[in-house]
Amino acid sequence: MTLPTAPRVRGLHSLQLRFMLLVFASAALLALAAATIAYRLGQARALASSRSSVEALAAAVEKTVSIGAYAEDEVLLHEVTSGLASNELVDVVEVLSADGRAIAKGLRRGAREDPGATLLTRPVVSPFDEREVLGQLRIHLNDAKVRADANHEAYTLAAAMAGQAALLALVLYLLAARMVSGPIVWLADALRHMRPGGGERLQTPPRHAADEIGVLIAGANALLEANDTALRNERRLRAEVEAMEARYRQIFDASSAGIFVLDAAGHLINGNPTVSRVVGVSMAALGALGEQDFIGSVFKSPDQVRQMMAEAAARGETVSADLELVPQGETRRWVHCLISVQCDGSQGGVRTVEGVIYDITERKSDENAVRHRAEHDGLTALKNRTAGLAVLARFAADACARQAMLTVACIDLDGFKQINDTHGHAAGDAVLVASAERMRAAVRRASDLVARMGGDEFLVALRDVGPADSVLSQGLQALLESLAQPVRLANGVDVQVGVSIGVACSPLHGTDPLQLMHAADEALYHVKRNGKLAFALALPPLAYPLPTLTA
Amino acid sequence: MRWRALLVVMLLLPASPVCADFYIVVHAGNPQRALTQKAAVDLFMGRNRAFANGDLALIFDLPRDHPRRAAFYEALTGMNVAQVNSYWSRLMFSGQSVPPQALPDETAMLTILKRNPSALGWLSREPADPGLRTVLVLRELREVGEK
Repeated sequence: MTLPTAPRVRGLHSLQLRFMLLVFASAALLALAAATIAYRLGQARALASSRSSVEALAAAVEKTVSIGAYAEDEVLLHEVTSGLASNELVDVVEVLSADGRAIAKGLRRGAREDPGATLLTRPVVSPFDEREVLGQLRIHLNDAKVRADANHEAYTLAAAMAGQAALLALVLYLLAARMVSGPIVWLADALRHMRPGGGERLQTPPRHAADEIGVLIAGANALLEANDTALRNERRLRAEVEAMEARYRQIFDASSAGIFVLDAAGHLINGNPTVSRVVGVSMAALGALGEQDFIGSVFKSPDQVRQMMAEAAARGETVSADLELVPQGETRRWVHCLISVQCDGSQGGVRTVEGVIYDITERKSDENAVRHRAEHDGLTALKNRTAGLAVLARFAADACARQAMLTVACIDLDGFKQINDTHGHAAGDAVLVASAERMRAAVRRASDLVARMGGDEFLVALRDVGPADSVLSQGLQALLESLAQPVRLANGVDVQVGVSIGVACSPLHGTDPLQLMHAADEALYHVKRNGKLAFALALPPLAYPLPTLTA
Repeated sequence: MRWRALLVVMLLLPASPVCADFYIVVHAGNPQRALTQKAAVDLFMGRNRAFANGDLALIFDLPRDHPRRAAFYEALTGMNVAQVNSYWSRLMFSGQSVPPQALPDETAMLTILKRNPSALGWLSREPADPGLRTVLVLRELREVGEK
C-alpha cells in the first residue's frame, strides 16, 4: 500500500514563510522608523555641522576682519571675504560698517544672492577695544549645498540602518529556518512516511535532545506507541470477531434449516442459502425479493403464516406448523416452519419475525404414501374398507350438519367366484380392476366415494343426491350396464359378471353411517335373493326389517 | 641705561608717581590741545591720519629696539609687541596702510616734533621743551616695583 503523500505546506500557509514575512515586515518597519529618525538626526546634525564649520571659518578670520575693519583696509577685507566665499558652504560674505554700509563683499563663483538664505552674523569689534563695535560680518550660507550635504549624510545613515535591519531579518530568518521550521518539516516528513502500526519511532537529533523539538518528538513517539498498542488490540479484537462471525456465518449458511428474518411488513431482511434451496429461489432472487411480500410469494397459504405470526406475537413463544410452499411445476413442497416474533418492548409492536424452515417434502410424501397404502386397496387403488367407512362417516356427519342428502350404494359382483375358480386369481384380479375402473368412471365426481369393502364388495357414496333424484336411478342404471359389460382377460377370453346394488339414503334411512350401510346391505341382499343385475332402494326404516323389493 | 633714565627722572621729578609714564607730544603750535587714548590709538595704529581739525598728522615712532617701545604699545593698545607686529604685518600685506615712521631715538623725536607742527610722537620722558605740548600721558601698566 502506498501512503498518500500529504501536500507540502505552501504559500501563505507556510509557517516559515509567514514568519519570514513577519520578520521582514517588522524589519522593514524598524528600518523605516530607524531610517526616518536617522534621516532627521542626520540632517539636523549635518545642518549643525555645516553651520559650525562656517562659524569656525568666521572665527578664524575674525581677527583679520577686525583689523581690516578697524583700519578700513578694504583690500584686506576683500581678501578675507573672497577667501571665505571660496568655500562651497558659503554664498555671500559681506562686512558692514557700523552705519550699515557694505565695506567689503565676496560672492562665490556661480552663486547668486538669495535674500531668504540662512544668515550668519558676527559683530566686528575693534582689535583694541572689544566694546567698540566696528560693524558686522554677514555670511549667507549656501543652503542648497548644506541641504544636499545633510541629505547625503542622512541618506547614508538611513541606508545603513535599513541595511542593518535587513541583515538582521535575514539572519533571524535563517536561524528560524534552521532551528524551528526545518526540524518541524523534517518531523512532518518522517511522520508522513510512517506506516500505522509499523512500530517505527522518530529519532531525536542530538542537537534537539533537550529542546522543544525534542519534547515534540517525544510526544509524537508516545502517541505512536499508544497508537500501535491500540492498533494491535484492535486487530486482535477484529480477528476474534471475524473468526466468531465466520463460525456463526458458517453455522448460519451450512445449517440444514432455512433461517430467515422478516421485518414487520413481511419483507425479507436476511436469509441463509438453505432458505434459497428449500424455497427453490436463487439467493439473488431472494435478495431481489426484499421489497416484496416474502410470505405471499413463498407460502401457498400466506394467511396461515400471518395467523401464526400473530399467534407467536400474542403468546410470545415459537409457533410451528407444517406448511405447503407455492408449488413449482407439478411437485408439491412442504416445510416445517417455526415462527418467533421479536416484539418492541415499549409498544408491543412487531419488530422482526424469525423463521426456521425444514424441507419436509420427502417426509410428507412418505407419509402420504404410507397413508395412501393404508387407505387404499392395493389392487384397485380404490379406498379400502377402513378408509371408505371413515370417509362415509365424514360424509354422513357433513350431510347431517348441512341437512343435505346423501346416497349410499353397496355393490356386489355376481359370478366373480366362478371366474376366479375357472380362470385363476389373475383373471379375478383383472375383473376387479376393470370393475373398479368402471365404477370410478361412472361416479365421475371427485367429491364422491368409491371404496372396495373387501372381496367383490364395493361401496359408493354420492353426496347431495336423494332417492327422488332422477340422476340417481340413471346413474345406477348406467353403472349396472357398465359393470355388466364383458371383461377381456389377458389370454383373450371374455368373461362377464353380474352386479347387485343396494341403496340407502340419508336422511331417509337414517343419518348414522352404519345404519345407512346396514340398510343398503339389506337392500343388496334383497336384490341378490331376487335375481341379480338389479338395484334396489332400501325400505324406509319404519318397515324395518325390509321385505324383498324388486327394482 | 634704564637705571640711569630712571635716576634722571627721579632726580628731575622727585614727586613723580611710582609708575613710569609715556608722553604723547605734538608741536606747541599744533591746535590739538589734548588727545583721548582712543584717538591716540587710532592715530598710532593707522586708522586715523588727521588731527581733530582735519589737518594731516605725521606719526612718528621710536625704533623697534627701543627699550620702552613694547611697554608703550602695551600701555597704548593693551597688546604686546608681537600682537602689534602681527597687526601691522596684516595691514602691510594689503599695502594700504603703513606703520608710523620710526626715528632713531628720542632725541631725533624731539627734534622732529619741535620742527614740524603736524608731527606727533611719543617720549618716555616728559619733555621740558616749551616748543612741545604733551597731549596725553599714558601710565605704564606694570608696577615699577617689579623691576
